[in-house]
Amino acid sequence: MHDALSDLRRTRRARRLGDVEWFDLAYRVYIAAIFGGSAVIVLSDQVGDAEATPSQITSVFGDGPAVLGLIAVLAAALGLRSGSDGGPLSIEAADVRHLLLAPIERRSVLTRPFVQRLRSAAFTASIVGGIGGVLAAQRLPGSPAAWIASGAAAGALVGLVFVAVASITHALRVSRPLATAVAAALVVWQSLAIFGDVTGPGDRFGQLALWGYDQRPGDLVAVGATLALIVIAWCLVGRLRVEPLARRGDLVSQLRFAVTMQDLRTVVLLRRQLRNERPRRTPWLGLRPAGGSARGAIWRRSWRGVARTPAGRLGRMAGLAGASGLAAVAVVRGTTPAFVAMGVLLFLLGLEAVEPLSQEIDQPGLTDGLPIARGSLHVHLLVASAGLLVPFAALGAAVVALIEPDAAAAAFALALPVVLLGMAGAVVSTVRDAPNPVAAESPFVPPEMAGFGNAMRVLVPVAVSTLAALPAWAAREEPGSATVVRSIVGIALVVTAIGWWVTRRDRWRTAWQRFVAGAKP
Amino acid sequence: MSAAAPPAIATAGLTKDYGGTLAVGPLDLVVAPGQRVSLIGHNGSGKTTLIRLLTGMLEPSAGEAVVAGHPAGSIDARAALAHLADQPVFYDDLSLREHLEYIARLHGRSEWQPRADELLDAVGLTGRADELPSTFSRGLRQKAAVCLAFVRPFDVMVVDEPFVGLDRAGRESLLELFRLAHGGGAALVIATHELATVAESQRIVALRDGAVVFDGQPGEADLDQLVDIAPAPEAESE
Repeated sequence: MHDALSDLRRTRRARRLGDVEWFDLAYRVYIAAIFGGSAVIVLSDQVGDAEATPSQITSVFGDGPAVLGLIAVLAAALGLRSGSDGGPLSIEAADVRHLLLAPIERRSVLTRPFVQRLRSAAFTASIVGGIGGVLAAQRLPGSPAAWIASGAAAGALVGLVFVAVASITHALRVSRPLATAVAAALVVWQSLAIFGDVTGPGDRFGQLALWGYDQRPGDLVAVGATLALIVIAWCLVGRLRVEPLARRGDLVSQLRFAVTMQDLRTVVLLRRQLRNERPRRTPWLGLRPAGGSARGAIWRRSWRGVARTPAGRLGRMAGLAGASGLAAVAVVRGTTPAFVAMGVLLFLLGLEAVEPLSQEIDQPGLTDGLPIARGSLHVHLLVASAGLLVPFAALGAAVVALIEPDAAAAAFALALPVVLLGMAGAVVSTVRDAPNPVAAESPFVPPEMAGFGNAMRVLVPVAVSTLAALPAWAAREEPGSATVVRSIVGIALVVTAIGWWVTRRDRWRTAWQRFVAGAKP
Repeated sequence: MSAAAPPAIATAGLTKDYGGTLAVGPLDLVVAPGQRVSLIGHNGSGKTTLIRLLTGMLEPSAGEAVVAGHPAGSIDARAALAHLADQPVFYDDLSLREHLEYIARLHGRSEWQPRADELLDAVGLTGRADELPSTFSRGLRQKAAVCLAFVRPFDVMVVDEPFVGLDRAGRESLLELFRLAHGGGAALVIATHELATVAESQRIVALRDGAVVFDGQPGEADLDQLVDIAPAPEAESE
């Protein structure tokens, strides 16, 4: 029977290789190398504009292991959560139906996907770690090659830890509450290591990331611990459960298609399904039925949606807000490229917050049946989303104030405008994905333009959110209350403009189409 | 089947709930070897959940299910039980014939070709055996799934809404395959709304909200009171 499995895999691999357009693949690699390499070089140059001072270098090597160790601990925490939700493996629905239900050892079926998952996680994380090494080499003593190697190695270990912990958690059937509790305990422990004299569980991993300058043999304990986790996970791989694998098998194929189509909303929805994340059955706050105006009905609808935000999503939003605060601190301290990270984090935070709007966009049939202009409806749905962001804005500001007490006042003054502009990018993304009810016909678009349009569809909203990070950069260049006021005014103008665009876009489209129709002979 | 053979299916307190929503159970059900059972019930009554519990694709929240004397989902149970699902699933990159070879060999049937040819002929797919079933229409996909379910040896077959999308000839072929399998000693549990299938069964089990509300012979039940039994749909135009 195992011969059949081997034969099948050989046949499918040969067919896949036969179907590959090698020229197209080479072209993609070439494009990715050019753009990726250019991005790293540009970022490196940006970092080089502020070399670390001796006191900063001392701080990096003193606090760095605990701070960088937090990344490894977060990977383990995410692995615990993923494993309790049925991750990290995803296999084809056909493999679930035909292989996992066949009378062969499940271990022989699942070992290969497990190894592939380890490999892809290690590779991706090592790339990220390597880029981190490039950036570190610009500001810290040590050779670039050593920094890149240590960054890549530490990154790979983090990726491996995630997959191994998730697999063990899954195989041992750890419940979600227990996994969350253990994950929280690990994060708290490592946080104590950052702010106190405690040795954290991730310190050795963090120390390994600093091998670009400071090598200590004892740090190889991190490698040993990772290998031990992998061996345990490998021993348990046959105990992975069919039920979550079946659920994930269906979802992951849809997710891959959505990613190919750059359909961000579908990606978000499918990832929530993968995590088994559903709106709360019982809302955090109940709103009684009421009469009143249409606008009041829209506000209540959006608050009802917000009131059913699941705890997991709130936790994720808190994490994004805290990470945005850390990125802001990095920008203020001289790491300019961190403003891109801050923009992306604020964009993701906004995407989580605009759920009432996204729900409306998901149901165009319901929206079109309402006797109210679509743009006006969409804007009013954002009131509750803005309200939801208030505590997260405060959290981000608190993180900044904790690390940079001198910037506390500016952080709290700017926090809400900044997260609102971050949300504005998410609004642009969500609204642009909505079907166009005023389109008379689909104009032919050449493939080159379609590709460009798709790329812009993703990049423009993120760019809008990234504008929200500029106040941090401005505060570094010109500290003072005047900069804060100018930033708030600037953000208000951008947010108002986007709100106006959402309200008016259908009208503008209709006018444009009439103009185009009138120009036809 | 010998008298000492274990039940084809036996469940004890079998329960499945989804975060407080009870889908099935607690269910105590025994299906004898070679018995042909129709599983009926309205939408959401728990038929598909029960079938997926028997295949091992779902894990019970409580209780247990045993297939041919082996715990559901174990290797021996998987060897004994064939599953014909309502939503066929195929590999995108394998032809129907390659699927048949693969499934048959995985279940230990090395001489698979005569049986495969016989099945392809029965459902009218001989001419399309080298095409990709993932590109087939709904009805042809269902016929291909029928071939995959019957190409392997089994003692028990669980079937979920098998006639969806099938034309009249396809339904007749499938009913004939059921008769042959039953005649060969296999137990069949068929979840269906088709009156013709229910009438041919030896036993009817009706579910409502995950619990058994009727368990007896076809002549003993007022089927209309138990569920909405749909008449056979019109033949699908391919």
